[in-house]
Amino acid sequence: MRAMPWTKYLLAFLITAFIFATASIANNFFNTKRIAEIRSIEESISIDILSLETQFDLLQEQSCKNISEDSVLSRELDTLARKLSYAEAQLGADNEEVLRLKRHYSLLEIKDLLLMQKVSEKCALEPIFLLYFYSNEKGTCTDCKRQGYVLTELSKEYPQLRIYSFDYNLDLSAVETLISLHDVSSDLPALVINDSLYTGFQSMEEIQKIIPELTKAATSTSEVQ
Amino acid sequence: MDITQIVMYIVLFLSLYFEVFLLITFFERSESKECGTTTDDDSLPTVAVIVPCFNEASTVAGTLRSLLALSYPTHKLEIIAVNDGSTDGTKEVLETFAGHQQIQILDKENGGKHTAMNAALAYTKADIIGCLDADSFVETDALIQIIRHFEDSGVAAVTPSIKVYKAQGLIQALQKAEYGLAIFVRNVFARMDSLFITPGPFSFFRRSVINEVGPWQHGHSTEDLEMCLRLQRLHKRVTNEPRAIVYTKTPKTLPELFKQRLRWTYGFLRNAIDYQKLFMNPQYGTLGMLVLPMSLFSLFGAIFLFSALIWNVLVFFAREFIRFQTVGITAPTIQFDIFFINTSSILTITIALVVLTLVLMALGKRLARDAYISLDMPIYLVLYGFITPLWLTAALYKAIANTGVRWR
Repeated sequence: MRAMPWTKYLLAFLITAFIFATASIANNFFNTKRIAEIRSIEESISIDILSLETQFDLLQEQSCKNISEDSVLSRELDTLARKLSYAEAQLGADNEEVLRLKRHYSLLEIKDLLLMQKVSEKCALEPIFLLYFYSNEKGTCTDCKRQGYVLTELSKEYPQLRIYSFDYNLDLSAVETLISLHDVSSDLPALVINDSLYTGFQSMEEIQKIIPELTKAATSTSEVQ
Repeated sequence: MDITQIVMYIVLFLSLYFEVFLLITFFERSESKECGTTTDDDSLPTVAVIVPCFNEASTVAGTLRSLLALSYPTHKLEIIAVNDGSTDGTKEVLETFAGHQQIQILDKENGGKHTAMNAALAYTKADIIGCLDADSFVETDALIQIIRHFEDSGVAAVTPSIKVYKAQGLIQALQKAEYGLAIFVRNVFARMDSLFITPGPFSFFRRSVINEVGPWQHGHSTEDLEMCLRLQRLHKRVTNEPRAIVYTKTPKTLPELFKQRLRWTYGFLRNAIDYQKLFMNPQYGTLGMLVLPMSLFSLFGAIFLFSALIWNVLVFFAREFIRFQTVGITAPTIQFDIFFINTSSILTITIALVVLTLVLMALGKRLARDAYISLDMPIYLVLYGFITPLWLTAALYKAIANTGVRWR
């Protein structure tokens, strides 16, 4: 019978457990920082939208020279979307904090959409609105990934295209209202382009066909350049 | 958390635990005292070094010359070269040493390494019996460093430090780092009385112990592993001398390496079945409760980690293929943002494990009097994980099917 060095077994266990705990605490710390950063971006966008609304109200009877398509915060919303998507992958789609931030993000998108529609009407701007309804739930939308790739490429190619993405299953009454307003069914992906509903996967070419203004705008831009 | 993640955490925890355990053991006891290098001491035991040869014409002369150069009283050192039915001219090479006083040459029909060892064992009357594979070479003080351990009457066998001879190319660079790690591991195992292999290159045994436990056996083509497990089963002490340096020729190509490792792993698995009594048996201390179970577990752990890696790579390429099919070739968006740095626990723990492995390798190199850091270490860390599962999986299949393996 050989001696068992139990103290060493325990010590090795404690050191290993310490390394595991440190890795877990560090991960939690960085995730908390990420959530805080997303929250801070959301607050900042929220303030900017409010500011723009106020600016718009103030200029009701004035000219539109101070308001352009670019003044709405598409780039910030895009950054926010990417960070939120990363946090969702890290913390899980069911994480309460992620869901809360996602709801807030969706609300900001809707606010931005409504404001931009008002601005366009008043100032005779012609942005193209695209609403994208998707689902992350397993098996409910096999083509959503592909649709996402198409829309990412489109947004890169046509900056004037304003894409708003909504999780179909998000528990938020404003999104539900948007869904019922546009008669979006659970057959996903679904796109609403300038108030018309398109169900199922739409390729780059199909979307370009639906929105001929896109290619025209791109051609005119390249001609200017 | 899904099942894959849970298994991943278990594999990482046990791997890290084992490495931490080895490190604690290494630092809890200082190295044994420096030995003298007296070569004319009458109190030294008589030693026989057996050199089993099967088709080793290109290397055996060098092996014998390195043995003749050993710092050990010539009248106490006997070298027995056994030609095990070679067909490549080994016999002719051995005959050129025929006139040498210290060298005895035995010639027999091919029967495997264990039969060559036993033929020499029957021939010699030496107190200490050792082996040196005919593709290995020793440093001049290697034997004296080993023999001093036999002053302790409780020691049954002593193992050396093995280094790769003139490493060239990627495959040998990998093995150089691996052997460096093995030097550390073997030394720490010895400190825990948990060695379970007495490697072919320059392991030595007390004659009286061999008489007691019996001669070498086939041991599923790993007679060195079987002999050590047999010694351990009978609670015989096997130790290690890191300063006894042996250089061995290693496979140059992946197929050669695959064949060698398939044999080693297969031998381990089959012997693990034969000696299952030792596993999880507190009677065998750390060997039974930690070293043997972890050695077995690491095999499955490596296969799991490799499968997970391959799965992730496949998922990545499948995703990229779908992206390509959908939108064609697109320019990647390169944008650095600290937000997207992966801080997941699994990655952090994996990094800790890799760093710890590097530390163990560096300590192994130091034990064998090499520089702490060398280029082969990162090569090992990057590539080894990809190729090991090849022979682990094949050996697992063969061990389950009990197919047997060939030496060459």
